[in-house]
Amino acid sequence: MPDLFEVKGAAKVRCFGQKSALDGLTQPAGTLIGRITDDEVIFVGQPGTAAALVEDLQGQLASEGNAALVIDHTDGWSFFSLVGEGCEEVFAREANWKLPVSDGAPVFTVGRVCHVAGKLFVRPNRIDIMTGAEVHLHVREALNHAGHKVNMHEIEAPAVDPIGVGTEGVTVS
Amino acid sequence: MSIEFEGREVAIQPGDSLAAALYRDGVRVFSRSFKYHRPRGLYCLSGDCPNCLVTVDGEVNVRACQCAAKDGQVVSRQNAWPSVDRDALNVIDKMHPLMPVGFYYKTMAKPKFAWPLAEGVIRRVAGLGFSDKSDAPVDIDRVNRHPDVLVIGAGVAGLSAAIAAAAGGKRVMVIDEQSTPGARVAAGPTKEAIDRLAATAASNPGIEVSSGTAAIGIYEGPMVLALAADYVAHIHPQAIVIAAGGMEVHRIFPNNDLPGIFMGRGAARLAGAHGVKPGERAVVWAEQPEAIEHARTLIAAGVVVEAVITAPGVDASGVGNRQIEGSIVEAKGRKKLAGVVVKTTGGATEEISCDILAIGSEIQQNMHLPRLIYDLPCILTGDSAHPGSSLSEAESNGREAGAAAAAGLPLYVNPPASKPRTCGTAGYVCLCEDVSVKEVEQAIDEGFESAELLKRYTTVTMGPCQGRLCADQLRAIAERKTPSEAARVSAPTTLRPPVRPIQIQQAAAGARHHIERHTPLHQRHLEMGATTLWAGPWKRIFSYGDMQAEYEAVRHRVGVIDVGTLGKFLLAGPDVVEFLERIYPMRVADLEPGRLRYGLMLEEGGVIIDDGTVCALEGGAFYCTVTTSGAERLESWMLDWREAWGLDVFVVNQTASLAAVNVAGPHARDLLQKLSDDPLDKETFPYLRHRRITVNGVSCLAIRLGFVGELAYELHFPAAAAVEMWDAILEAGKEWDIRPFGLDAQRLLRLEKGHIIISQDTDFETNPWKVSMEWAVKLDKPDFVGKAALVRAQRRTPRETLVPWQMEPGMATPPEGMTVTIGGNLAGRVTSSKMSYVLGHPVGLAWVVTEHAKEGGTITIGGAPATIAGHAFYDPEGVKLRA
Repeated sequence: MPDLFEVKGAAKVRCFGQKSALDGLTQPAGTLIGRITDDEVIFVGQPGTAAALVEDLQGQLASEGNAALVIDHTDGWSFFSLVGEGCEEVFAREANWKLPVSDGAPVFTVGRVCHVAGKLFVRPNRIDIMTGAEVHLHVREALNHAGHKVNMHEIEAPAVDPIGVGTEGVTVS
Repeated sequence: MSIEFEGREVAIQPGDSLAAALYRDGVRVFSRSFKYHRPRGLYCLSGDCPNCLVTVDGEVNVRACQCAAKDGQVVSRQNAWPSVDRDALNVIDKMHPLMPVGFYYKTMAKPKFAWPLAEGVIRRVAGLGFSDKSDAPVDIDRVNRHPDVLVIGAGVAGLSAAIAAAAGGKRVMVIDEQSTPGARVAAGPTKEAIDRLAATAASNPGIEVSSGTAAIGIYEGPMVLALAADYVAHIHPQAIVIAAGGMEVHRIFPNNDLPGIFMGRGAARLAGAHGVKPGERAVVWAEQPEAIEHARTLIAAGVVVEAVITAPGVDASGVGNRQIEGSIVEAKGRKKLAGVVVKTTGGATEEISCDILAIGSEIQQNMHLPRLIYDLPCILTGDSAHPGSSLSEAESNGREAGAAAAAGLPLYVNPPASKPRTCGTAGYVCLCEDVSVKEVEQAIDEGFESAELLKRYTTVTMGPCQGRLCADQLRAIAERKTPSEAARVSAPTTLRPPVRPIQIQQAAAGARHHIERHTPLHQRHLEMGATTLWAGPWKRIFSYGDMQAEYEAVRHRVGVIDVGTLGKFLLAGPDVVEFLERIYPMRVADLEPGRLRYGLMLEEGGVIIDDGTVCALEGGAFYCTVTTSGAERLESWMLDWREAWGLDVFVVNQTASLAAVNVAGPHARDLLQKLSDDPLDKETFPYLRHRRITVNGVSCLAIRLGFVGELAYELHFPAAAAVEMWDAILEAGKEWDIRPFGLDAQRLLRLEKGHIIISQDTDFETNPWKVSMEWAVKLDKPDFVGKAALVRAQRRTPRETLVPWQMEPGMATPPEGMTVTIGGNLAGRVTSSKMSYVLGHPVGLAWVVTEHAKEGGTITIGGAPATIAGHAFYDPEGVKLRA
């Protein structure tokens, strides 16, 4: 049975810049990475790591001057995780598109979920869904509704490593 | 196990359908017909005809032949009074002459009160049962599936196709309406083949068989809509194989609707699949070889087959008591079948007594799904492609179709044309709507000669069967009556999904969400008793209960409003100045860091689409705001222009990540100074400037603006700090009796200043010239979106101009939208209106024809005089907001 939890305060940092500059970024340990477009990439880190993540990425892009931009977007998106066997079934009730297949590593994708724009990380038996914070209540209700017929339960996020990338990485500020 | 049937208990057996259980119990009349209340019995047992619609546990129009019998169900029949067995309303059947086809267009038109009365009566005595409106709707989920290949139909051809497609490496989904593959197929070679293929499919991990799931529509994508027991499936395959089977043609002859007359497969299903003996003495009409198997099935069930009536070439040797080459021309009986009249190929007629007639007529494809595929990647197989295929042909065709689907070959195959068929000259064409051949012919005589018109006028094909039984017959009659125009009058009518009747709640599956966007302060507002309203996709605060108190606080003390719904953008990058110069009609390049400017946004036609502010930040970036409903649309709009111009700019939508509040009123500075150590005085932080300051320990971008016409600071800060900030401001403002204010108060405050709201005071033709905002446009810039149109528009006097107006004290405030007249002639309309508390009289904005839009001019609004003003009503010099 799948579980649903929200990772409150998960760090979300958006980087803008030339493709070559973004291609050259080193993914900080303990983060998820998603390439939105050639000129935008996002990193998601454990709660409380946004400032450190911004600092790290600004450092990496410092040589780009005003041709690059690093923005802390932590408050702008909610981060929900569907975890466990059957999580795809919950997703299938709230999205009409086909999830990419993960061989174990997180696969980043975008598409509408619960009728709103979403950014997703897909792993075996885990789907992380980021949607706008302004529709947080709606998405939470929709996911719970979708899950109740497959015995999904909403639980508290794990205290340790809620985004599921390991505990090694960016220092918690 | 038992069900409750009209007050009595009826035993059921495992695997029973409701129809089988009731028939075994002796029920022969399952319904009364739609219009004439003729008795109707089981006919197709495939869910295609309307004869067995019953009410089950309060749900009307359940197909008894398709509904599994479950212990405790409460079942009743429909459309009769006082009972289906003794229906007094059957008297209508004797009144055919009073109810000609289309009678509701012809009769009871005069006197005028007659039709409403008649309509009430008709609605009660005709129809398909009464739904229980007190029932709470069931919440039905929508589930999406993404197989590589979808096979519709788990018969011989369908299962063969699925196995072949899976062998080609595809993930295959098979859907079938029946509870298990072959559930309604009588024992015999076909059933054995289905069982064998179903076992093979079940053991193949690449095949998912979803029984009890009926395809009801095919759409672009392709997407197949399917109904399961408790959800609606949206299936998105790469290829579709339709193996939806075929059905026997509905034959028309006098009394062709009597209980006891079955389609051949229906009688065989009842006897062979459900083990229920349909009757004692049967006549089997065998137009094709499969019907001989039906006769054998009936004999095996203990039925005496008195005669097999064969079409030429069909061999019935040794089956039944007699074999006669010919056809059935009439059924005999009053409430049930008593016999049939047979006409031999030699022309002789003979009456044969029987209590059941099994019509094994020509097989036609189930046309509904194939007719929906258009240019989609579909392939037809089995009876869907070759009606009347043999068992081996079906298996072979299915394999070919599955292999083709797996190989991704061009799949679209033209569905076989549904050819017009012969049709009897008397009897019921449409069992759903009770329409006879005579009535269709009468309609043709009245001028409704084509099938498309006949459908609408007679309602043939518009009942629960959706034309399965009657569509071809309707075309055949049209062709027979007007042979010289055969192609035109018998053209197929349009088919649309759903191909089976569905419940309204099924149609609404997955559409339950009413998406509200909220600021991070929304819950806090509700806790304070706020009322809300829609503002674009957002739910905003209308008022906290006392609009006038909110207004007074802002005008005389201090108030605070949540403006977090504003669209907020950070724009940066090497080309950002060039980009903004092209996006906005005002100048941007000369904005120094710390300064801001009001900006309109125009489309190519020069029409105003939004407005907001542009703040120049340190480091060459800009922070721009747009209206509440504009953020998403304008983000796309700006990104489109960025791509079109090829400029190196980053457009970052920060609407949700930043909260925003506006602290406004004469004591706004005093209040914020309690929460901030940064200098806020007029000299350090004047009007139309912005600074980064710390308020309540949170770094904010503070912007000095004046939408409500008072000293005001708009604070933009991380959304996570919103609630603490809001509470701190309210706490600090207690000294001045601060009030949070909503849109109702804000709209009056801005109206007193003469500020417009885009899309309330403007429309799809409004350019800056029409709203006297020439000051916001710099035509001497090289270029900007809308410039060319504005240059052209400048040469013409606009037809209407937006003007402020006011009325004398004591006059009622006219509603927004009220017309404006001058000298009795229409001269415009009101866009905004409110009673001004500070002025004591109504004020507003209105579109007025330009020749009359002059300061001091008099206009009439709703019969009352109003005067056009030339400037803001409140603080026209702007002294207060610059304080």
